[in-house]
Amino acid sequence: MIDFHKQKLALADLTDLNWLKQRFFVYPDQRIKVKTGEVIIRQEEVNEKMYFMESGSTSGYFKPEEGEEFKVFSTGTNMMVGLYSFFSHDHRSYTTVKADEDTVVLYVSRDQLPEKNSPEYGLFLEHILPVIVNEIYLRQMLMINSVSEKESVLKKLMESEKMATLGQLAAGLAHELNNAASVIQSKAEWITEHMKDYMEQKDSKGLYPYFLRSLEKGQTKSSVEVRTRKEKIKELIGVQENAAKKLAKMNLTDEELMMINQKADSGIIDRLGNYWEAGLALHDINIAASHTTHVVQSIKELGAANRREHQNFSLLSSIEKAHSLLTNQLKHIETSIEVHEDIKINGKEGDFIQVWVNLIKNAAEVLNTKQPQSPQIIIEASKKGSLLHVSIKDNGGGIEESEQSKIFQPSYTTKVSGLSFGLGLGLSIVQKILSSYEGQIQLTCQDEWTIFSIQLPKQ
Amino acid sequence: MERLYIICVEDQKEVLNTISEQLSHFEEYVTLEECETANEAYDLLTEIERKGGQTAVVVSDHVMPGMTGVELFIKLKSDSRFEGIKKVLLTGQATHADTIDAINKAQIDFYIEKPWQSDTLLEKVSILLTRYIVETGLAYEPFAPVLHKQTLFDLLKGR
Repeated sequence: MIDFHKQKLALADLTDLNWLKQRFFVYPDQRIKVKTGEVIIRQEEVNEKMYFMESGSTSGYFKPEEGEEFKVFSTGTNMMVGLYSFFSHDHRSYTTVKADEDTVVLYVSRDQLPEKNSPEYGLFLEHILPVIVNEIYLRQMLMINSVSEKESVLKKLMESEKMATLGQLAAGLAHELNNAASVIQSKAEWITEHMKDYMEQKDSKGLYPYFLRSLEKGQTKSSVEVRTRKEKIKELIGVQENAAKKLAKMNLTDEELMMINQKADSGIIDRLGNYWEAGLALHDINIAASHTTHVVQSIKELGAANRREHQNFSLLSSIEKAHSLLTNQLKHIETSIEVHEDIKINGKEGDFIQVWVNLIKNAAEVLNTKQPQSPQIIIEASKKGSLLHVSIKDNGGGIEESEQSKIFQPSYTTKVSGLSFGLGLGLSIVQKILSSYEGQIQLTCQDEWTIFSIQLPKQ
Repeated sequence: MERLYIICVEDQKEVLNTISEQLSHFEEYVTLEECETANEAYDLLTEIERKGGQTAVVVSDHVMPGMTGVELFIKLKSDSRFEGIKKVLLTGQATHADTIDAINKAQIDFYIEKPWQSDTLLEKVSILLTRYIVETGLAYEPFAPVLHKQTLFDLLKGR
């Protein structure tokens, strides 16, 4: 804000206010005491007087034809009001001037002014002109200030509007998907249980354990491992390419391989393959279904007002849930969670999952882009006195000092190209959530490490 | 009979399983290989070429850590050893710019959007396999059961 009073004084010094005061504002019967809120000049009314403020302060208000009145200017001691209407062509005031506090004004009427074209009138003009210029300047400044204030309020409004729209959109989407996802998940579980019984009954060759193995663990071998193993199997039991590949995927020990090979049953490998693949298919369906429900759930918590009550939950499990949402991004990153399972937090678990998701996701994105030698994310927690400390760090190369102060601002994003676009809301959401728990988050960088440290009061 | 390969590239294991399961239709005649990264696929392609095998079709996802699918295809396009390979981009996440790149620079043969119907994938791969075999002048008869009849007919008629 510009300091009006300083500016006013500077101009007042240039102007010989005293001359005007002594010459025109001296009549005791033209000295009025105005109480707080009383009107001195009314909008649209003819004003034949010029007022000098001996003490107190007043404000001018403009009321548009439709809508609320608003403040146009303020004046204080040693300033003048009514200048515009006094000098304008129709002498009508464009504002209503009211006293902000008990105020004393002195006035002079038009008919008390010196005769036009007299030398005295010239002197009057010479003295009043700087006062008028000053008034114009002050009103102008007030307008500029209110416009820029309005501008920033509008900007903030649009920002929160943007977030609200996004939230509603997300909530709507999540709501639509939630039912579908839960049906898929529960039916997948149902069909898995029934398939277990069915496969067990149908099995007469001891193949059921292989169905269970892939059902529980999925395919654990990487494509490279499968190719190496395939060659080994071809050597070991002399089967064809395709059969060897099937067996390679199954994670069988050499003993198991031999055992299967010894069963003089030509169709055994195919049947074993079917058992294993049935298990794997169900495993993958269950993984995908639960991943979908998790994602939908977390979008729901992100978008809608989370009505769930505060509860005591385990910090470790909330971090693990966040971790499970990000499995895909974390595939090539060594992630260690060093958090004792006894640490509990009182609050909405969804809030905290969101905090961890945002922070771990940021770290993973940096690591996947920069691809350091051995990408790592380390999550640690400790209790110190009445505070709970959680830190999430990655060795993705740190953050430039010039960027460090900006990253918590909403709409700040480094992800602008191609598919990795970001809304830049992540860290500002994190900060908002944490501050609702009276917590804090800080960023430090050390060599190649970026460290986000969170402090929470222990409840 | 020449040893032919179809290579699937996808970083998400469950999806890779699905693709290769759907393409197992070809397995009796063509070797199906699975890769989790584009780099791995490139190494495997080199290895196959070195051992005298031929890769007919590569089906790849686009967004993967490290090299993307489109980058892999551009690399294959500019390498004379891999020029004739048919390329299928199977993705739900490519931007407009990526797609333009894929068509202009990598000259992909088919673009399939996720989620896809297994019939579509099978048909496209079958068409491309047929084109590869006819274009490289291999004997098509041993592969006949998995080739695309109409495509084969049209190509032979035009020869």
